[in-house]
Amino acid sequence: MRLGYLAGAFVALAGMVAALVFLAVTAAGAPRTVAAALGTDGADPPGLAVRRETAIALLTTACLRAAGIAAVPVIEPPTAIPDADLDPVAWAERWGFGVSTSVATPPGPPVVDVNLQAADRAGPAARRRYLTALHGDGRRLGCHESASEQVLGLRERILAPIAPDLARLDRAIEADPAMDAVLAAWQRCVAPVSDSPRSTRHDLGPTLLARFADRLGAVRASPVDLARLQATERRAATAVARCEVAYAADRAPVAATYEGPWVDRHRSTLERMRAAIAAAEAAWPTVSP
Amino acid sequence: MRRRSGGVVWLVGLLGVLWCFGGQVAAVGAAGTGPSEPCVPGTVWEDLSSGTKYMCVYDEMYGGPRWVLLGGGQAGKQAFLAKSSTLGCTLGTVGINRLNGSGADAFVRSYRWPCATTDDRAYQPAGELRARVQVQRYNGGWSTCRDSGFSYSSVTAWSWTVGLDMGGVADCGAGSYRAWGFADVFQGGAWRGSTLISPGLVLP
Repeated sequence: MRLGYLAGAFVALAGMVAALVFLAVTAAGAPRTVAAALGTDGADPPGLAVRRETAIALLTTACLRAAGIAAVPVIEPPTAIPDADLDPVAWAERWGFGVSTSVATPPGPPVVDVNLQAADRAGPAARRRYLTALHGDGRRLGCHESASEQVLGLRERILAPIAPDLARLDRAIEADPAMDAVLAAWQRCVAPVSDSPRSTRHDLGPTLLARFADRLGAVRASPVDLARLQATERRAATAVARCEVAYAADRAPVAATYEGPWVDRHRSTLERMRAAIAAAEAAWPTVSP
Repeated sequence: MRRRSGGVVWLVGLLGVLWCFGGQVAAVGAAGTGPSEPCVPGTVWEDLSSGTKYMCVYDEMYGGPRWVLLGGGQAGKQAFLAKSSTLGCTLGTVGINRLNGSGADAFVRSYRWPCATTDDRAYQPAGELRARVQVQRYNGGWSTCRDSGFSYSSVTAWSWTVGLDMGGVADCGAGSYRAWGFADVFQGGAWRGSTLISPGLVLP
């Protein structure tokens, strides 16, 4: 009897340990941030930008044809960003804030729009009709806006039910007393380039932009002055980029104390939304190979 | 995603400054006599002894093609080549008006040669200016967090703006953010432009 009792207790204890180990392993592998739970952490998957532009073009064309307008898909190339893959610090070292360094940036290749060309050739009435179908008339969305919203607004649309909760999560993190020290460290970090020991995260960007835009105006046509200004801008931008990296690292443990439990509470919802986003993206129209 | 056309122009003049800069580079050349070679718009002529370069552009005000001196800096040359055209030197460019924790705006403006002052602004028919703003986040790689899509001018205009309100960023996550502006003007059957201004975006 006593032996049976001990055996039963042993089995129960072993089961509990196994359950705890299972839970610990599961929790360790489970996403602890909203972005990770939604599958949007890290870089965009290869080809996503092309798929978005293709879907917008095809949906727009289908909409125009449904409105009785002859149209062909005009698939935009993904937006051209120089050195798009560089990390923030490396990008700042090369491009600064993009103010004085963007002088002389060659434009992207022209995108031929055969639909608008045809509308221009067809006369004012046909052009008006085309533009109304494409861009709406003020009372309803046009085909482009509708397609664009359908594709680019996908994530926000699916996350809309939890948007207020996400906003509260953001506010809770920012209101944590530990964030005072994080912010103070950031202010000390950016002080050499911000001209103010109390720069806020809301005004630093506009202040720096305005400063370099003003200086650019004063440079006029001297290439030597421009090169000097660009060097100054690169130094300032690199300093700010490093401060941002440090800020993100300092903020992460504070945020984790709120975000981790929040994700745990909403895990099934987030997983459902992740699946819905993936399904909607998979349903986007594509061009046959 | 909340899109906003119009909106407060935070950095009125940034674009003008950029264009004035380009205009100044061009204006230096306008005073030059230029080579005696026939002027075919788009061609570049270089004096090999001095390295001085001229480019032939079609100047609406002048009433035909003429040579203009290219600026001394390589950057200036590229700007001028890129922003001159036989179509009248009307191009758009882009800037970020508003940049803070709540979002960003991009704007496009259209100028006619010599693109030096607001007197040179060029009005475009409805539907022929467009602007777009994207916000991206870096966490081991860049991902697009918000994208306004292109917003097209609904009236005859020389300037157009699109805005993106961020709200919170919990769904995009912690990390470094940046904003990109894109802008085009419809000319000669194609969308041209897409200059960029990309300041680091301080979020949240």
